[in-house]
Amino acid sequence: MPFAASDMALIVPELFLTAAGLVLLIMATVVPRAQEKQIALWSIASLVVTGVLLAIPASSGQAARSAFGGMFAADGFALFFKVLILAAVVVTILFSLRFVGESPYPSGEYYGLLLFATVGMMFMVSGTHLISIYVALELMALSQYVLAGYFKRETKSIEAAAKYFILGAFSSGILLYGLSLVYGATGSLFLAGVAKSIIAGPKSPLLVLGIILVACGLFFKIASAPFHVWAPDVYEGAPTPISAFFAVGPKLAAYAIFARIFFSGFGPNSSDWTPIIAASAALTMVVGNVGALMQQNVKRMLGYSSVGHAGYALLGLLAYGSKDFGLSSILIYLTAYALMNLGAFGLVILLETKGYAGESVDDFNGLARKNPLAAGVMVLFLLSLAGIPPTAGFVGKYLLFSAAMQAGWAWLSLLAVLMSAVSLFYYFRIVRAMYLVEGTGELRWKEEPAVAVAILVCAAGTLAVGVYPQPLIALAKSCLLY
Amino acid sequence: MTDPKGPSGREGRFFADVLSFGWVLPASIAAGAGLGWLADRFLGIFPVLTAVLGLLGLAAGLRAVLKEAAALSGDAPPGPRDGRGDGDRK
Repeated sequence: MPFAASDMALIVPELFLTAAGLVLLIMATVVPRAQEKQIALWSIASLVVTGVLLAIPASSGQAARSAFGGMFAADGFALFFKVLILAAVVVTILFSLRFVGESPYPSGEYYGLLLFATVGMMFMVSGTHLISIYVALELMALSQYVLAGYFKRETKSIEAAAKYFILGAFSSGILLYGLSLVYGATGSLFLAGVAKSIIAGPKSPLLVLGIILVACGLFFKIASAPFHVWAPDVYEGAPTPISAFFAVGPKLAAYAIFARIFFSGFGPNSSDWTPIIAASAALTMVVGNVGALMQQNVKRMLGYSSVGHAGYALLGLLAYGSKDFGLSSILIYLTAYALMNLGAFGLVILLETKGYAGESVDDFNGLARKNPLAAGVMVLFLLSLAGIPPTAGFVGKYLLFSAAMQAGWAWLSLLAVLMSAVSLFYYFRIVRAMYLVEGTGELRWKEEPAVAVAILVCAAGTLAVGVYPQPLIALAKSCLLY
Repeated sequence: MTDPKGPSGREGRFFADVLSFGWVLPASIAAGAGLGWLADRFLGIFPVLTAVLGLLGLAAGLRAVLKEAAALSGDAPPGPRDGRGDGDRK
C-alpha cells in the first residue's frame, strides 16, 4: 500500500521506542552485571522521550489524523491511552529495579521485552484496520508470554508462561477467525469500511458469527469470563512487577481496541453484540468477585479482583446508545483502575518474605504497627478498588454504572453495585490483617525509594481523582473517538 | 464433632456474611455527606460541611467495618487455605 512520507512522522514515537528496545538488547550484552540498573534507567528515559514525542504534535493543537491509508489513527483517544500505557510501564520498571536486580537472570531482555510490548500496545490503540490491530496485539502478546516465564527456573513462572501461551494462542486463533469472517461478510478490513458495509447491506449471519468470535478473542485479552481462567494463575506465577504490568498495561490496550472495533466498526450492528457483552459482564463480575473470596494468596486475590473489574469496565461498552458518556466513563475508570491496581501491587512488592513479595494475606499481619503509612496507603487502594468515596475507584464506578443505567442496563448496574459490596469483604481481609492481627515473625521491609515513590504517586492520583475529578472528566471528554 | 449445619449450612452462612458485610461503610459515608450537604445548603457554604461530615462518616464506617471484620475473624472461606485458594491446581 503506498503511503506519504509525512505518514512516518506520525509513528516517530513508536519507531523511537522500537529502536530504544533494540539498543537496550545490545547494551545488555556489554554492560556488566553489577551495572545492569543502568539498563532500567535507560528504559525509563526512552519511555519519557517517547512521551515527549507524543506530546509535541498534541501540544501544537493538531487535529486527529490518520496515516498509512487509514490503518493508523493519531487521535485524542489513542493519545490518552498511549500516555496512560507509558506511565504504567514506567511504574512497572520502578517496581522491577530490585526484583530483577536480585534475580539470577539477565535484565537486558526483560526491559527490552517490556519496551517491545509497549510498542505493540501503542500500535494497538492507534489501529483502525483489523490486521494492523491484530499484528500489534501479537507483538504485545509474544513479549508478554516471555515476560511471564522470565524466572525460567521457577516452576510457577514456567507454568504461568505455558498456560498463558497456550490459552493466548488459542484466543488469538479465535480472534483471527472472527476477523476473517468479518472481512468475508463486509469485504473490508478498515473499521470505517466495516461500518459502512453494515449500514448498507442486509444483516448477515456470517457477520454476527464473526462479531461473536472477535468478542470472544478480546474477552480473553481483558480476562473476562468465561475466558478469564488464565488470569489468577498467571498473576500468581509471574514475577510480581510483571503481574502488576499484566493487570494494567495490556488491559488498557485491549479495552482501547475493544471500544474502537465495536464502536467504530460494529457500532451499527449494536443490537447483536450488546447482549453478548452484557452476559459476559454479568458473569465476569460474579465469577471475579466470588472467586476472590476464596483466595489467601494476595496476587491471586488481585487477579480475581481484576477479573471483576474487567466486568465493570464492560458496562461502559454497553452504553453504545449514549456512547460519549460510555466512552468517557471507560477512560476515567481505566485511569482510576491503573492507579489503584498498580499501587496495590506495589505494596505487595514492598513486602518481602522468602525472597518473594508478600503473597499471603498473613504476610500483611501487623503492618499498621510496623508501618502506619504503608498500611494507610494500602487501605486507600483497597477502598478505591471497592469503589468507596472519596477515591478514584468511586468516581470511575459511579460514571460507569450511571452510563450503563442511562443506556438501559439498570439490572447490570445493580448487579455491579452488589458485587462491589461483595468485594469489600475480601479487601477487608487484608485491612483486618494489617490492623487487627498481631504480626508473627519479622516483617521484612526492603527500603526501596523507587517503589515507594511510585506507590505514593499512585496514592496521590487515586485521592486527587476521587476528590476533584473534573479535570480528568474534561480531559476524557476531549479524547473521545468521535 | 461434626457441624450440625453441615458443609452447605456453613457455606450458606459464609455467603450471607459476605452479602451483609460492609454495607455500613457506604451507608455511613452517605449519611455524613448527605447531612453535610443539607447543612451546606442551609448555610450556603458548600462543600465545607459535605466534605467534613463525609470524612467523619468514612471514619465511622471504617471503624464499624473493622469491628465487623473482627467479629467474623473466626470464619474462614470454604476454599482451601494453602495459598492456591480455589483448589484448581495441585
